[in-house]
Amino acid sequence: MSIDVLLQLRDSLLETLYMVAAAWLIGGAIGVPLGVFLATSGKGELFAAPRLNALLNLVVNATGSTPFIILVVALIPVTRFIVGTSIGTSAAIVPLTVAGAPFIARTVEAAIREVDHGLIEASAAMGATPGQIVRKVLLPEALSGITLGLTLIAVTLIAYSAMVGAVGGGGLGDLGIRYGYQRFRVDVMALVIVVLIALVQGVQMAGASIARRVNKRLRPPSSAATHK
Amino acid sequence: MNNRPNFSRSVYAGGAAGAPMISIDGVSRFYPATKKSGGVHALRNVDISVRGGEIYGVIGRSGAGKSTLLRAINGLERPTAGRVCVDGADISALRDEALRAARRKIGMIFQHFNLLSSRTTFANVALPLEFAGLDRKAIRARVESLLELVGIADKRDRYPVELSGGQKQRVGVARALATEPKVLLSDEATSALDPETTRAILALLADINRTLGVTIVLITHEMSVIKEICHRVGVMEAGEVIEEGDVYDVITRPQTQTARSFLSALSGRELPRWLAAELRPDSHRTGTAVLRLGFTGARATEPTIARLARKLGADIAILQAQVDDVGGRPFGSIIVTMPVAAAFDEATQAFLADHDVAIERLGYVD
Repeated sequence: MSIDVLLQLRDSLLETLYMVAAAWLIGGAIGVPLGVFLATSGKGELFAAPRLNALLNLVVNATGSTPFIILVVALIPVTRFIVGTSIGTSAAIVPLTVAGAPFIARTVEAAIREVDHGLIEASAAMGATPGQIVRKVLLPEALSGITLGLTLIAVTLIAYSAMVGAVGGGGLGDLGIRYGYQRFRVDVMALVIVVLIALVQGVQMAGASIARRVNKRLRPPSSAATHK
Repeated sequence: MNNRPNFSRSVYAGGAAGAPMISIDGVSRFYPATKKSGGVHALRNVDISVRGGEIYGVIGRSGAGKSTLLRAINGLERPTAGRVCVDGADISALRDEALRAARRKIGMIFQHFNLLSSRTTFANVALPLEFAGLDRKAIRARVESLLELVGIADKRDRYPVELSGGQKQRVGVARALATEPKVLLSDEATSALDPETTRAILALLADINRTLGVTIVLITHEMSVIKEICHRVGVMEAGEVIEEGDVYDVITRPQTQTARSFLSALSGRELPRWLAAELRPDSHRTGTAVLRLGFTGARATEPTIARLARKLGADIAILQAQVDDVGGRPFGSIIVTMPVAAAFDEATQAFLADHDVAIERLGYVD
């Protein structure tokens, strides 16, 4: 295997990391607040706005049910408007973000809905404002679930990023297709797969570890025996 | 567990005489019909007045409306009719920031504690103070004295998962007292605890009531809780308060079937099983009548039964007898059998009434 291929691999890895990280961060910045709102704006809830809630649900479902490769192509005009071009690694961030944000919103919503309703009631009884309930109660209590959700999204985005070669996005997936498939370089294909697996594994382990650390519902092993 | 205080209840600490701390006037709560169920009257025209410094208990089965009633006091439930005033503030009319300010003066504890799993004991108790916008230093001082007060200072940095039920409820009590409320609402606070822990938590509540003068309203489905610490009690059924009075009076002379059925669950109040199996209802007034006679106050220690037997020449058999203690006052309860004729004899009735003996007809045996 030539040094060229290894350099290619390094560049592709950096492209993947760049796309995924950017889409994950921007998607999180949109998806986390959106998820909080979805979880608290239903009828009779903290920020009750049933109509807006229904509308946002529709939008989230629509993007969630569109196959990613269709989304990439369909978003080309939007991408050109935002990035200035529809081709390239930066351009690929747009469809990745659009696919990721609703997904993040759903996992955040699910994590927040898992929080015991009694805590909301207790907080209201203590004289908390709805904003305080979100900041000091719902988000901290849902943190472990949110962390796991964000980890899952990062992994999903890594998988999606393999498809953005279709719009010249580059990245590991693109490298695998061009060298491994189109040029019959089985060794390159294998290398790409190994790197992708290692990447996903690393992200997954880091996420799970953080989620475990912030989850105080689990009894720490050291004190399990001594505290009844 | 030797920290059981004596429950002297004569002292109603604090609270201006006259104006009640909590007044609930003609409160109704109607839940409109939904697709799944018809409309429900959770509360029907409830009137309750709680004096400052009092421990008021509401007893009822699940669905009786006691939880809705409790939540009307801090505005978590809005009455469809009527008015709820706490310490002069009309809770049912308050909105937003005014309501939040009023709620800080009303603490609440819960059956399932409702502690934040992500916060330590210290941080859980600090939460209402953070909501109120206190600075760190003030919060720290306040929380540490509260942890001392409820006896869990050594669990300061533990998470709820590391605490026992009793310890969790102590955190709940400390949290509820953080903003120095005048009123404490207790929503079945001991229902998830074992009997020993229940006693300890009730002792803590009685202690807080006595030393801090905090008015307490508690709801429960256990008469033992009422008997242990309450001054007055309201019995609820189907959204209505059907009986109300001093705990001693309600326990010794219950007026409604519901109150009686709650009493029968008190330890020592249930009928012996062999007797319960043989007992026939009121429609067969033959053979021997089984009565429960209740002796209250000074008369609890007089030889009333012996005198009755002598006076009437009736055969009276004592099946079970005990002298109980309700709020420091003696209460004797005797289950007797006597011939039906004697039981319904006017002289018997008059004699017993004359001696302040409460009669409850339990049934008839052969």
